[in-house]
Amino acid sequence: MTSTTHDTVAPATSSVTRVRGFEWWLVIMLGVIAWMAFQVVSNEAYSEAWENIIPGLRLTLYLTIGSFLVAMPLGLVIGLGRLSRNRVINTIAQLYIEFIRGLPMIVWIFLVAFVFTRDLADMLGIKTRDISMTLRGGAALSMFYAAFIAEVFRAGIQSVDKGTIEAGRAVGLGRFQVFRFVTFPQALRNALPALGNDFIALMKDTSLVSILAVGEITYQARIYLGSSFRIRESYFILAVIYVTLTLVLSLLLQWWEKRLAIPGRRE
Amino acid sequence: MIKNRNILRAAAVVAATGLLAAACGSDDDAAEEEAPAEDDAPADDEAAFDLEGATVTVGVENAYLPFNYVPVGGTEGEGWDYDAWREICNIINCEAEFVVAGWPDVIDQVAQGELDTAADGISITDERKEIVAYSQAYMTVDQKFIVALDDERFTTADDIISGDALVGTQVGTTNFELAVELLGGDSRVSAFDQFGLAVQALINGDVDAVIIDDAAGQGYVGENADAVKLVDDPLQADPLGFIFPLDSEIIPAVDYAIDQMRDGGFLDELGEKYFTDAFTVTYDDIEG
Repeated sequence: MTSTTHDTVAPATSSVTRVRGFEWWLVIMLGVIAWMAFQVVSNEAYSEAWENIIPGLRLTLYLTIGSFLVAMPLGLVIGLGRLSRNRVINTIAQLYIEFIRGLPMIVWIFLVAFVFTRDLADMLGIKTRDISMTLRGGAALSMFYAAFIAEVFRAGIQSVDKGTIEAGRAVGLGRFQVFRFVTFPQALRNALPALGNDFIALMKDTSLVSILAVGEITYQARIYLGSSFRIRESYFILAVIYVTLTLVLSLLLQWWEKRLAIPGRRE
Repeated sequence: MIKNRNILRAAAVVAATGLLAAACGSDDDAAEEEAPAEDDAPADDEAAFDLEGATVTVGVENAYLPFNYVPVGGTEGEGWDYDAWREICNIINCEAEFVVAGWPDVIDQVAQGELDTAADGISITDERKEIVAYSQAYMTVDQKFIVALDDERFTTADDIISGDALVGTQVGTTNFELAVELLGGDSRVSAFDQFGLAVQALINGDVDAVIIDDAAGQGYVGENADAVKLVDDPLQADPLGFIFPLDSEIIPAVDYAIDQMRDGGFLDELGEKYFTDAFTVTYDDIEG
């Protein structure tokens, strides 16, 4: 499911929707979204489904943003570990990446929530109860995506023009300064499209956290249809919400990428 | 002229979108009108309760002790529902074919006619009656709480309800609805996809109690006797029934079979087998 978007670092198959010029599919999609908005306002069944599902949106967004903010530095560290010449560090980093990327997200969520949390609680001497399901789900998302982000950063760093690094050393910058002022900014710019992909993929994977009874929108929809049997309305609204989020995030990311691009340089 | 062509295109798109919206907005498909294979004579006598060996597809979850589950090493499901339906088919001459389905999706599947019936300790409710038909009630269960074995805090149901205990249960069940009602909202209720996950959460300490039908509660307690216990304080009685599509014609036959099983003592036998300490399949043996 999500693995297809993570096989490459470059956005060959992209979660981010690229809008070039006038796109008919976009018009139709906007039409569908508009129709859904109309249904929510005018149709009682849709309206009720919407009211029951939308309260979960806050958690969906918290999980998306929160998990990604943690995944980024974690991914950077692991990515650097992959580039390290230290055998031990390199092995650990690679092990982490390969293991996580070998698992389906849902299996990882179960592992984190029902196995590792227990171990952690025992180690820290606290009750598993005190680690909320939301926290567990968010942690699972962060750790999972850190593995992909690590590869993105690794590729981004490796693709920085060595000449600029040499220039930095030549001007007298220390190794860490070169990284901070020369390598990293360029690596970040290189990595932006793929990071955007991962951000959107993470947003969609928050739906899997519903399995832990965490109240984001997918959970809310399942609860609602469990007692109302409004199957069609619930799933349609859920789908349109996710598609809208993806669209909005894609457009925002594209705009941001354009802002950061160096004029005249091919992307 | 280019301008006209674009206007034409735009109009076509709008029309297409409108058509698409109209198609999607139409009512749910009417339940398939396929006459059930077990099309029987209209007469009221016992001969009418012979389904002539027809196949009846029975939806089961295979994740609900002790009603339906798959034991390790086996490929066939076992449980109260399996035994009951095999006996029903003995009585009215049909062939029960068990089909695994998810909960609560199975209710919709039966409503749409994708399955002839379903058995999963399904409570009879007015909301469900709007989309599926029920057999007669074959059993009544009490909803109860199960808690951790060493938990001293709760001796009555009220101890759990008042206070801030977290309650686990399954999505789309009358247990969930009762929990929301008793706790004044869903902030203290965690609804998992299967009861097994809820019980797991209880054992892990993620929830303080699980609200469940006592028959199933007995099953999970019996098989996690070292970890959980039943709070013997009934909350609400629920009658259980098998569900059928609204246009099903086999319900009278099934009701007749249930009567026979009750009068003949078979239901009592099943109760002995599954709802007492005699039930010995452990939770860990459950596959999937």
